[in-house]
Amino acid sequence: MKIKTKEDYINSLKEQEVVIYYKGDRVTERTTHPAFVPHINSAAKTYELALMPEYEDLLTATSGLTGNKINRFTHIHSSVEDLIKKVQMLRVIAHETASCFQRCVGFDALNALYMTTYEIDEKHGTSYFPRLQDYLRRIQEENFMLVGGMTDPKGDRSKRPSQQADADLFTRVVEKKADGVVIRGAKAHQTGAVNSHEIMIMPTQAMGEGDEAYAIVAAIPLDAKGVTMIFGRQTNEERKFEHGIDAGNCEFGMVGGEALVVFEDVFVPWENVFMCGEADFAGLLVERFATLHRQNYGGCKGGVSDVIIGASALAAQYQGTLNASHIKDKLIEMLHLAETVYAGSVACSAMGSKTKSGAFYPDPLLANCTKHNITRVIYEISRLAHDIGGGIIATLPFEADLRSPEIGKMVEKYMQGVEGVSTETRMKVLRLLENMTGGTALVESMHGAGSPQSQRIMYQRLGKLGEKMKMAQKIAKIDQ
Amino acid sequence: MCRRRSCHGQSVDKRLLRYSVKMRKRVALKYCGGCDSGFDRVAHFERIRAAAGDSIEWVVIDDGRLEAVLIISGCATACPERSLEGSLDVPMTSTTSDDEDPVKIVDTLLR
Repeated sequence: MKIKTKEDYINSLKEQEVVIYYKGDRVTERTTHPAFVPHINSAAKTYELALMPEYEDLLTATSGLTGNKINRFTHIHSSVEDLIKKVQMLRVIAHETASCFQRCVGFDALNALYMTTYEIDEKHGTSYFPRLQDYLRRIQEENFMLVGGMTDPKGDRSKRPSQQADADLFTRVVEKKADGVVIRGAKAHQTGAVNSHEIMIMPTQAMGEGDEAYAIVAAIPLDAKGVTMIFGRQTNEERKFEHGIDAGNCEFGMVGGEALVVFEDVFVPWENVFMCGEADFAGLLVERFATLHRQNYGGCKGGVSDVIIGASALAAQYQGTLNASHIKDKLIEMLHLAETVYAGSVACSAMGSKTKSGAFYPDPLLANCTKHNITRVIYEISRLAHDIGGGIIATLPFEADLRSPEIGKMVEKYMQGVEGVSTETRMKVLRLLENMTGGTALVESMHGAGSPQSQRIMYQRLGKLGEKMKMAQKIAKIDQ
Repeated sequence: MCRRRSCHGQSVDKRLLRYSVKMRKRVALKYCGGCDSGFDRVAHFERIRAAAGDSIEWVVIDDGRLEAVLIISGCATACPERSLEGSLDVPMTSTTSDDEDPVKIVDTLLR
């Protein structure tokens, strides 16, 4: 299963017999299902661009394990330059898809595990790190797509995993065998799961005494016996089935394409287990994964914002408002916001540091600031896009009306903008704006890589408030 | 066919002649990743390639016999300049804007 091209990727997905449900029905062929094709196209860009000379500087890297040229999504960051290139890569792919391309979650899981398994072995005398290195050699060679499975359903949020009325609401080990472990539970919101090959499950939060069964990290092929994926509904997703203007961006997804992944007593051999019971490292692993994932958002969302800004400017141009001073000012504000979030991702990468394992890690406080800004800025960019685009974004007729022999001429006539631009062209850009600035796309910016409160907790922990108080005391000449 | 352009053309013509008699110069093309490019890097290269004609054989960066490197970067940061610095024992020519004259770039590459 060595995957290089888009065709290799799609063929490799066909080789797995997975269990997926969409709208209550079992999906027989995932690579051609209209709900999944846009997400497959987005993820495929991570393969396609790696083969293009004008993108390979970002999309490929040299493996620290083998010295081979590999896809960057399977790379362990070996320098600050690698961290920065990751962010640059995300921005450039977003320009091509205007959507999530899903592979960063598995990428971040691999890097978080690389750092953490090294330290687990150091403390507990286990051998997870060399086991992970073997796994890395395989993924770097085969270039398969890995989902980073962190979020458990969590049930009653006020209770710890071991205190839940239903013990399966956090993914857990139900049996240890001589040759592996048996897993039960579920992972929610799994971006890209239905078009991936494997999932790397990880603990969802810090674990305490009594939670050892929940401190499990394991790589599971998505066609393993007992794995069921239930695809999540997105805003207006069935418009993509029409392959037309109304979808806004019919070739690629709105966001990643998320699924609930259920594990019903799934067996995992020991060679694919990278933590089992070391509850004292669950919190560190979660923090590292979250930091690596929050690092991304100024890259991918910055890139997506670039497309929103371009679409807003085109919408203004097509309706004759581009030269109005208030429109120019709004576009400038959007540019400012997009570059601000990008700057956050570059900054946390530039301030990255080397971990004991040798892998590089972004500055966690700056990475959390970056993601926290995303929870606000993308809403503001979208608000400005709606302001510029006008109410027509919400009231535009169907493409079928434009094509109708009876009423098409009316739509053509009354939906037109400036002379020389067709109504169809104007409709295309307005639908793109609608697609990118509402519903699921916004919620993903809020909760993807962790909800805002999880970032604020990190501010409290990492913000050095005491040192700042001392600074103020010194300046104010307070001697207490 | 006259290839001359103001200031730079004549030297290019002479070098083209020299290289066509001798051999084509092996030049590696290296693009930046294009995260925020201000111009079409591929189109810029195509103009440079056209200006070079037969005087340059374009090769990849890990070619064992390259004689020079052309770096095309989408902005002034020019990331590959930093990442390649000190790693290659051949002259590197960098361009960060499609305003730069392709003939002049070829002239520099053929020096």
